[in-house]
Amino acid sequence: MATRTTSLQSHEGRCHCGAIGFVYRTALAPEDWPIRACQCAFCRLHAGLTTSDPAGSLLFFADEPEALNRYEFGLKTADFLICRNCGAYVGATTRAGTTRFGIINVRVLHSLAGLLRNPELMNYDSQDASERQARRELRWTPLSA
Amino acid sequence: MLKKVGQTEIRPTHRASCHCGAVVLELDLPNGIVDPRRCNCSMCRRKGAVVAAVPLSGLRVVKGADVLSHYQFNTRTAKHYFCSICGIYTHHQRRINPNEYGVNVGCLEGVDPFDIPNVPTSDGVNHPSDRGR
Repeated sequence: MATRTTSLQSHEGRCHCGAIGFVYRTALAPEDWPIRACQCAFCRLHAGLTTSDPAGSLLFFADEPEALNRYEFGLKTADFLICRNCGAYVGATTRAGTTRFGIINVRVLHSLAGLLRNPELMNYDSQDASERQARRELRWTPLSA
Repeated sequence: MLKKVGQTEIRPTHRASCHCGAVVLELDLPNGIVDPRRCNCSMCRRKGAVVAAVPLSGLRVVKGADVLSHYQFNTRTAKHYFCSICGIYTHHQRRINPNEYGVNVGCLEGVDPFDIPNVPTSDGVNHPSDRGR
């Protein structure tokens, strides 16, 4: 059973060179975060380990705007945020109507590395674009303005 | 050294590519995948890749040299190459042995690094080149 504290805790993550990153706010304790290892080719090559909280909030930032590379592929329903300087994958965003949602790659939060759960392997290959969007709307974190 | 991963035979000359396909490497792997390992340094923790060793002469960029970016930090000895389009780390020239590349095993054609059992992790936080300082 997940433990929720009474207030949202902020977790700031950055790529290796520090040019881009995020502030993730969640009431879930890190040891209760769902950790997902998506098995698509992109996530495997980046060894992505992602999390999200529909009750939390997420803000991506770029101290060096030119360093933010938005990569899309396949069904092109999400943007994958990569640093042009150091190559780190920090997270992804998608849009549903007027709301944007995101996930973070917890590999850039290495101060928490020893606390996090073992990843659950995920395979979404059979989902079409609308199924993917429905899943993300339920599961991903709303982006704050 | 590994001559086979899952159902995939490691060929003496084996291709490797990034996710978007812009970068293609040709690797000489006469002994298969040599010394596959992870590393816990600040860079490798973010990448999470399983890395194998290849001499400098055993790696050729056959496509996409113009889209390969590289990143250096700390002592700026190692050069970490990645695709500027999809961000995938493909290889790096090593600090501990600049005559060698480390190659992202996940980029090898047909190879799933999750099929390699018991991959050791190097202590990159306390890099061998820093010890004794």
